[in-house]
Amino acid sequence: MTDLKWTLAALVIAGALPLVVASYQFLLIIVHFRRLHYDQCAPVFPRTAILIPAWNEAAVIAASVDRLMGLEYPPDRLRVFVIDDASTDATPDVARAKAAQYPGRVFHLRREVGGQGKAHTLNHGLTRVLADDWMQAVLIMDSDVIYEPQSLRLMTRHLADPGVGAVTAYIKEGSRPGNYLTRFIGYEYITAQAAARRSQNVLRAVACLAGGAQLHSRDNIEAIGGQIDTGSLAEDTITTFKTQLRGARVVFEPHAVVWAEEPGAIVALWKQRLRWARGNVQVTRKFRRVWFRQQPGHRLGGVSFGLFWFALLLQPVFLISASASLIVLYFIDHALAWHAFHALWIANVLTYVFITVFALLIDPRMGRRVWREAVMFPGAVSLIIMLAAIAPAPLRFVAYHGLDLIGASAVRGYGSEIELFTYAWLALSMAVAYLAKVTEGHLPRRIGAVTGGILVYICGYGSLLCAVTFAAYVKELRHADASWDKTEKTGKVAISA
Amino acid sequence: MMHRPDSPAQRESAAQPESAPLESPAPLVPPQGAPARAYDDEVRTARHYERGLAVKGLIALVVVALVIAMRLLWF
Repeated sequence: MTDLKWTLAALVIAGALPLVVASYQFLLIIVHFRRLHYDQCAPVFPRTAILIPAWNEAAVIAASVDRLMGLEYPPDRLRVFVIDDASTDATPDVARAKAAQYPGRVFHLRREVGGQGKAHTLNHGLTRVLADDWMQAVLIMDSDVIYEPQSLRLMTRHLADPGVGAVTAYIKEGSRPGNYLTRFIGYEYITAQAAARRSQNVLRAVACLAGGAQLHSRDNIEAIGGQIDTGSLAEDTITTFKTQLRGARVVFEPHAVVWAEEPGAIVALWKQRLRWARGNVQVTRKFRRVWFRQQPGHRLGGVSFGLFWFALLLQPVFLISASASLIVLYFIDHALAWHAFHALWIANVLTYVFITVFALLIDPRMGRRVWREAVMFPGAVSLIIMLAAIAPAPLRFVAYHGLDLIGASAVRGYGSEIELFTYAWLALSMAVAYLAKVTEGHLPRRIGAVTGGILVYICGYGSLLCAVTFAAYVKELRHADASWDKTEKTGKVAISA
Repeated sequence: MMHRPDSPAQRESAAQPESAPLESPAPLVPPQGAPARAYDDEVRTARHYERGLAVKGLIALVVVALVIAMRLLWF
């Protein structure tokens, strides 16, 4: 029995592991300045082919091409290929008009049979640009993203080092005017892009070249077969892994900024993230012989990189097992349950404070816009639990006197139920996140959006992402249909001042 | 061939044929993008920013230490 109790207590405390690992990731940023790649850089301008996969992108493609023509890059060294994936809207007309406006610089490639997904579309373009020897580097992007004028040249300077196979940029959320969800995503991207990629630079193992900003040398594209993987939902990550497994380096350039439009509704976000999460499950399986196995030539098998990857992928497992263990402990050893719960949430508070403060300082410009969502990232309920863990006395005072003041002293009679609820909350929060998605999808538009938003603030954006990851496990276990599901873009993205 | 305005490392290099491979010595071409000085400034600014992040990381750790101290002393 004692062994069982301590095992359960360990599982509870393991619930903090994803945040502890995330804090370790943030700690690595402190030494990033010692691992910069600039000594091997030079201001080089390889002849670059930009591939824009476009499926019914008439609303955004013209502006994207115009902006690319304004990049700080020698015009004769830049060609834009709009790969029209059998679009049924005005995309072909717009692409042809742009090709006529910028002769010799913009090209319209048409796939007559489309809808197979981004990877197939990109491969159509890659075949074209690899057919002659003009192209020295290829930039793969999305039709709606906006490159800051200097971004491409900041990326290409890393290709002066022949050891570098690919370069990625800092993707920022740029929807304007945006809403609460895009601000959550804005904060998430500080942590997942600006912070996580820097720490991956330190490890020299990058998890993913952002789909909207991946620059490859010609050598690299040819070495990985000249084609993008079409067998998974995570073609970007597979390309990134293949690049590093062949011994080439992938570099994240944090000062090359690319603005992207992200979903402003929970249902759309769920769809997008489910695709990403299922892709990550597929990548984990595909590269199962890579994890935690140090091998010469690449760092993907490193312990730290493996920890980063699996802490994120298995986060729902950690949360559910922590909650389940707490509930069992509650009935078999109430005191131990309380201590384990307290230790878990103290760890959560400290890592939350560290990550939030550091993240907002990493990108203060974006931080000013999204600081409320940064604070609310764990959700209102988790914040109250964290407050109870870190400052129990004031909260006890409020509970005893505040409840009397508002005439709700009867709540004190439900102490056990409230305690059980807080023990179950880590798992429950994912259920509430799912409810947010269902609510938004099924209630009338405005009511659904408001109710869904309120639920996200209650359960936390982090729980929403965990719920999506959990849904990805289920879909993969069921071998559910893995066809490409496009995220709708409207062209509301802008560079923030 | 890489199109490379005169960087500190390459200022003395000579022009190369257009078909040279990516990793071959870069040619000296008239600066058309960022001039060398601007490039050096950009790299210096980026290095400065990254060093600043180390300080910001330490500030975040100090905030965590303050939270721990408050927890131990007052609550």
